[in-house]
Amino acid sequence: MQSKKPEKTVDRKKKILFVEDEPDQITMITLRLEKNGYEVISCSDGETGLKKAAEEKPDLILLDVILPGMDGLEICRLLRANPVTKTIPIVSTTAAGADDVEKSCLAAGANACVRKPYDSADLLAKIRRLIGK
Amino acid sequence: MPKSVSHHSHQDHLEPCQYLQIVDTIIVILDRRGHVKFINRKGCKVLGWPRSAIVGKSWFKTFLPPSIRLQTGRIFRKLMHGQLKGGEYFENPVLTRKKEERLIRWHNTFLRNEEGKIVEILSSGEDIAEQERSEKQLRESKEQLRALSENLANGMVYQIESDRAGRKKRFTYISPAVRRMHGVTPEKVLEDPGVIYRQVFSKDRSIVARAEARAARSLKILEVETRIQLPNGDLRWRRFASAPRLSLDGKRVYWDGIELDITERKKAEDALKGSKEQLELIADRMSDGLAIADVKTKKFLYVNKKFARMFGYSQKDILRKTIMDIHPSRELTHILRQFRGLLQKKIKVSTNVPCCCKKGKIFYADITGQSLIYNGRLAMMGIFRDVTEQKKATELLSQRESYLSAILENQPGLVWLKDRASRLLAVNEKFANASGYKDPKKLIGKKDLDIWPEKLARKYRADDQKVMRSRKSLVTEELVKTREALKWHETFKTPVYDARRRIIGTSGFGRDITERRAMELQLKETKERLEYLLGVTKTGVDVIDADFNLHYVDPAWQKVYGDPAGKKCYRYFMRRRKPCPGCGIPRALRTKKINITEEVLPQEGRIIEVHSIPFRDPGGKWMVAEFNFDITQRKKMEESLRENRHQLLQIIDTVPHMIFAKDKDSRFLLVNQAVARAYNKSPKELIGIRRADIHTVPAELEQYLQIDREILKDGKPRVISAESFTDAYGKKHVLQTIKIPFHLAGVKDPCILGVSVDVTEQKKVEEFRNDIVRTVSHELRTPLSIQKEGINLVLDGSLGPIAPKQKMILETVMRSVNRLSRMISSLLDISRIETGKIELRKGPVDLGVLARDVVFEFKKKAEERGIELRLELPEENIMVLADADRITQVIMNLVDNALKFTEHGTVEISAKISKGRAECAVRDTGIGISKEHLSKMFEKFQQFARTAGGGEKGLGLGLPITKGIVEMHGGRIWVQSEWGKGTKFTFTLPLFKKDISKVKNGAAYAVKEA
Repeated sequence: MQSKKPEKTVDRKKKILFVEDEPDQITMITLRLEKNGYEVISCSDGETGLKKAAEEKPDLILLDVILPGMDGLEICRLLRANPVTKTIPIVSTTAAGADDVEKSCLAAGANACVRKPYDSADLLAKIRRLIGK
Repeated sequence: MPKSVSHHSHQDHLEPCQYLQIVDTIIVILDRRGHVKFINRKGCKVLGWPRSAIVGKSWFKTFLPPSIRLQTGRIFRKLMHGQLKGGEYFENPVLTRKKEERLIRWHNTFLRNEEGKIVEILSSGEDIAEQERSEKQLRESKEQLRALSENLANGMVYQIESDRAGRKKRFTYISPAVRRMHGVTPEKVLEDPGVIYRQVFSKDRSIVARAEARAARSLKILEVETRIQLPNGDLRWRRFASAPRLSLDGKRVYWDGIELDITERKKAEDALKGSKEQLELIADRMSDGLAIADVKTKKFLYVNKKFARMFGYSQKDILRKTIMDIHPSRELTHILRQFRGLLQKKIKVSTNVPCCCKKGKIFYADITGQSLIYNGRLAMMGIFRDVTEQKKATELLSQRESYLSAILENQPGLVWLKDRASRLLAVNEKFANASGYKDPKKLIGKKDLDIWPEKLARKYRADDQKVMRSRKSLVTEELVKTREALKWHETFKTPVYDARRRIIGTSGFGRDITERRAMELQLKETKERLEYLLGVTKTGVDVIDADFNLHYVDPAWQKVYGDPAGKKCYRYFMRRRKPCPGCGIPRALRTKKINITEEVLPQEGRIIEVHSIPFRDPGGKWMVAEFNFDITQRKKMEESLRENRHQLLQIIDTVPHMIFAKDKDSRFLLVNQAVARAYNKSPKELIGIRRADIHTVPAELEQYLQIDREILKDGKPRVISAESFTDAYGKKHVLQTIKIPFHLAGVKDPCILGVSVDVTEQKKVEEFRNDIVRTVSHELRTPLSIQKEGINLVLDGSLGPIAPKQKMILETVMRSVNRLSRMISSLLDISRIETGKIELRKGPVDLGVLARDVVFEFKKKAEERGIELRLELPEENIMVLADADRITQVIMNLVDNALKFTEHGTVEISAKISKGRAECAVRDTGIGISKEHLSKMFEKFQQFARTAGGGEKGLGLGLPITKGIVEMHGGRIWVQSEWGKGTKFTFTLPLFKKDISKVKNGAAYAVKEA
């Protein structure tokens, strides 16, 4: 697996924008995603997230719903409203058990939801389904 | 006919005779220019214009349709100038006022002057359409007449032809009934009408002749009633009615007549007439109102004095009134319907008919109606009896009856009423219950023998007879053996009288006096002791004169009075210097009536009820006999009762919960301080007030009232675990309320008793705790997941190789982190279950499949521990409607527990369908659970060291969560265990009703993955 990875990087790595306010969480998930062949850029609040999404045009946005300031649902809606970011797949993360939040995320434009705390296998599976390796 | 017309008109055409006016043909006279000079009545009628609008107008221009105007006018002019011969007949239409064209057959006669020159033209016209119609009608009516004539029972029809003066009569038709009516053959009558006319009674002949002549002149219907003397000598009354009509030539008159035999009616009328005065004399003396009213006009024809008085009119005034004037208008439809009903039946009585006096006062009357002929008119006679008083009495009676039944039902004991034959007439519910019949109505009419054992029944019957014979009340006390204990029963029987003091039955009252007997016994003992101490007996008699001198004191009372001789009563009795104010002697002497007073003997501390009875001694002097009853005990009991009640109210008031009683209209009957405080009122102010008048939040109020209604409907108590309540200060509370339907003494309808506990704070605490649990759990989970992720990253070697020891340490850390993670999940789960915020994703699943999955999951663990893991499943599928993940969690919890507490042996998982439900059991051969722990198995944070069987320790939330999940699915879970022998957990789930066994496996997995 390790030997295969460099070959894959010859093509452009799929870029993921990770919006999450917990720095430690960012470190760990970034490590896990990069190990699986994705490029990760991250930021810790909604405004920056929106800006970065428009500038970098990532292949996928991983978005925590509970954020300081602007919350994930609103970011979701704004992303969908902007023509540049309109088609970027969004995976939102919600607290476990909050089924109603999950529903409103999907209604706000998210393509998939993962539950917090992260189950890396589940997260990777969902990302793969949306954008491939 | 045309000829005769011309003949008449020719004589004086300028002033056409009356005849032209009345003939049934149109007569128009036109002058040479074609202007109308004359038109008769019939002509005006056909054209639809008044005569003044016709005479003088040009006939052709005005009254002919435009299409033929010119042509007809030209012909007319030619005729006038003799240029055209003929012209006597033609048919053409005229134009009526309504712009209709009517075809007329004209016959013209030319009127000439002496020189033979035509000066005028007289046209007589027949309305052809009308003629055809009338001919048809005539045919039909003739047929009907025939049919009628053959079928008339007491009459016959005929047709007579006469001249215009009504003379020269001749029958043109007579029905065969003439044989019956006059005893002659029709043929003979047709030959000689005199056969009939000669039968007319000699005295009536001139009347008949005058009537006929009058009718012939006026051509109005002839109606005459006359006597006929038949050939066999019988004198009969006959009524002749015939309609005259002119023949077409106007010379003859045809009479279509009918003759009816009215002898019977006449007889009745004569009889009535003869007795009319007598009737009125009697009627005026009647105590009931009598009125005769015309059926058609509803006008009064006769009323008696009483009737007029009843309605406040004079006898004369009321004859101008109709039936409609004497009843209240809003009842009229109903009354008139009854009135019409009277016509069909012979005699009918209408009861309680509201009547209205002249002054508007309403009273009620029973009316007996009868139809009769009065002065030749169909009339209705009504006899009015004022029943207002009676009605009031009935109402009062029914009211009393309801009081009575209320009293009956509120009696603490058994109450019954029997007739002379000892049949039950009324019983209360308690009686019904005691007899085992439950429904009081079913007991009505039953005898003692039907209800009680024979021996008892015979005794009761004997008692009844004794009471009725002696006319005295009977009190019996008997010892009754019931299943539980020996009871004393007191029965009180009294005779029941009617208004004339005749005995009509007995009434009884029975009650359980066991308690009272015991108390009495106790009381007697105390009393005897007390009396001994005080030297006072229960009652005593003394006699006092008007000056308070004692004349007699019975031996028992002497203890108090001492020697009575000539002493003032109060000196000894009351130890006062003044006449005792409450002694009652002066009053008894003044009123000469029994006077009852209460006296207090302060030194002995006793209360005496004194009955002072005035009487005259043999010397004629007024004295007073006094009966003294010691009522100290009774007073004390009353006092203590009052105190008890007061204490109870005080207790109710000091309770912090709201206690209230409401009647069926939601009026407060009782409230304690807590309720009053909440409404910022005093309890007294709230009594009698409806909740709706004081509660300011409509939504809350509606909720309360809704529940009240439901309770009153089904009579079942309700517990409302949380209802919101806004007090008078606007503060919101959460109340837990219990509402119970109950009967309050003295109130007939069921009431509601409510106790509300303020659980606002409790709810807040609960809410707060749940919030903490949720928040804390979330916050804890994030760092945990980061730890997990980090350890995983290192452990799976993707960041570089690690040494075995490092790996071991990391794996230990990982286990610990996982455990912590599970604990937090449990905390979250239990919090969600308790707050009901868990969301179940239900779908049809096979319980067997879930069990198999769990077994698969634990296989390795069981093998490691040397325990046999067995799965027992039936061949059929066990489809349940459930959240597959949650049920898996349940089975896992149970299996995990079983493995944890089993050292060797087996853990068996089984599932089956039992009693219409899915049942799943996890049985182990482990150490089991002790009895004292068994009952606490499903409580939170309980940990039982069933064994040191290894495995990690938890929070003690596994079983509570399991229970919560099962119950949220509508299932049940229980545990059976014996110390040292193993444990069995069983849970049930509702089956999935729809039979989908054919797609079962796929469906189950699909749902599970969803």
